[in-house]
Amino acid sequence: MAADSSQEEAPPILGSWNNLYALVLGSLAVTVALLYALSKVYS
Amino acid sequence: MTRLDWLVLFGTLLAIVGYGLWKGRVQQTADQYLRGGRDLKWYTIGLSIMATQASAITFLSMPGQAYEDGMGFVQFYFGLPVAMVILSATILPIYTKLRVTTAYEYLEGRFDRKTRLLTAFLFLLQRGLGTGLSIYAPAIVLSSVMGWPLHLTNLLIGVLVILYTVSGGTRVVSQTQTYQMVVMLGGMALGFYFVLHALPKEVSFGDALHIAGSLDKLKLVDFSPRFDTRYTFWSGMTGGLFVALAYFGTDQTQVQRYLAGGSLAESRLGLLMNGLVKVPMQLGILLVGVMVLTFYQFHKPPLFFQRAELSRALASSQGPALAQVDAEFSQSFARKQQHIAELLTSRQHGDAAQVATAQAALRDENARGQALRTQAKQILKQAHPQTESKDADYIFITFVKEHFPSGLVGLFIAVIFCAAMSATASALNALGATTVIDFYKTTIKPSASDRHYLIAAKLCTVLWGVLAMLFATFAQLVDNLIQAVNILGSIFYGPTLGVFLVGFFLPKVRGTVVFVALCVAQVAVILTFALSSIGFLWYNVIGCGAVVVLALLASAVLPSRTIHPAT
Repeated sequence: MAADSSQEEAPPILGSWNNLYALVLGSLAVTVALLYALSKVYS
Repeated sequence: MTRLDWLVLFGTLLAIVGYGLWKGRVQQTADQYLRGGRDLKWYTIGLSIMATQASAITFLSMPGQAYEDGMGFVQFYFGLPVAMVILSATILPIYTKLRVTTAYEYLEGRFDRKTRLLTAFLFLLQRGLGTGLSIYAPAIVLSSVMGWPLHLTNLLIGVLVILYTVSGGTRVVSQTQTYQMVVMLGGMALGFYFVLHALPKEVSFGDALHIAGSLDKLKLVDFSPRFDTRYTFWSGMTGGLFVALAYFGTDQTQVQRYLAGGSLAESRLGLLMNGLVKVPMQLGILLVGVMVLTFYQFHKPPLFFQRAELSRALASSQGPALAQVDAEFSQSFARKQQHIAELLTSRQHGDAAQVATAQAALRDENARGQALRTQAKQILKQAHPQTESKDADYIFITFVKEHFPSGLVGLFIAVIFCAAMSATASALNALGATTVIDFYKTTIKPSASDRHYLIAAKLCTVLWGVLAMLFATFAQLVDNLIQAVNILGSIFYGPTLGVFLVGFFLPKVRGTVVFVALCVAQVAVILTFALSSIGFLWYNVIGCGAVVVLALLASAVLPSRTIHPAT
């Protein structure tokens, strides 16, 4: 196992990986909220 | 199936397999074969990860599950995006930095060889059996519904996969999966459009959702903290997260997909793409099932969706009793249609009280219909005790066969084949890599030429493919096969995840300690399985928790020695 010393690249969008993680978690939160609303409307 | 269906089916399959063989004609090194040349783009990785997880059962069972139990199953996937973020931020950089080929290779650097070999062996055991199932499960459904010979279907799926997996290795597996995902998603999108189109003209999409909601099929999110309900927001965010961490972080079938990335960034983006797309994708598949349910509120569904079994029972001594239940089922269906008409009319008039009355009547009648279906299943069992009484897996394929237009039936069968082939290809690729890298290269032939390891990897892939086909051929001799393999996976996943978590997050713990913890935890899980009635999903938690707690206790008692895993 040879260690790879390459520098960590920035993501192509949103500037930092933390912002991209926030996008994924934020979209999950929005999806859950929308699905909860849908459950209420059609229950 | 019409000629057009056969043309679509074989055209799609031959195009994908031909593409795989054409791409695999290039001479490769062993590393290129096993790691895909380490230059794949994020979208190829993302689609490959999704295609690996999406087995044929996903497209056969999930619409049936939504039909029977509603869309609450989507909550199981809520932990997945969180797992993708955790893996991208913590575990993936370690794998990338160490340039490992298999996940278990990391464990030798972090702990010792015996821990690596044991976890790799546990992977080979459970994935080897699981791969047989990924061939057998769609073959048994297709043979039953379409009347195809079971062994020939097994053979067709197995041989096609082995051909291009052995020819091109990791790179070709991922590239073909890109096109397989296009077929799968495109096929399901067309299917969704057709189901909507097949509803009566006066029924809008909103009406369809309203009917499904009235039948309690649209409880998408349940925040109640109940342990007796299988799918809630909380079980998804804990159990679902746990399973996703184990599957994507330690199962070589998935690890091999994202380690083929051109860089850490490409691999990360692939994982995060899965985190963004997975929940909406599963939601879409479940929605197809709910629309099929709505369709069957206007067209009488069969009493039992395995029509071959139904006909066999009608011809037996139990035939008159079954015919009586079917007659009552028809009467119940007629009353249900009346309640649906009342519901839609009162909804158009905005009469809330009348809507509530019609909904209550519809629910009662639906419950009566369900009770009659249960009664029919009991009669089917009496007629032929070997009959599988759960017909959810047959609901969507029956709908496709009986109501899809010519061409679309062939496309849907191609979707099933693509899903079976993509999951099987990843598994064979990972089984071959683990056998060569973790066992052959370390214990049998440590120093051989690159060409030697390339040939060994290809031979091992063929061997695992043949074993999977043999398992698929004889799987019908095992009762409750799907449950048996799920239990087997749950028995081994927990302790393995525990070892990886200790490796990543408890730097003071040493190899012998974690090896002993793994053995003790594995025995504890097996005893739990043998002596208790605890649900098998909990085996994951028990196994992982036992390894971590034992390792923590041992590290507190024994002299410490800090190990830096990423060096």
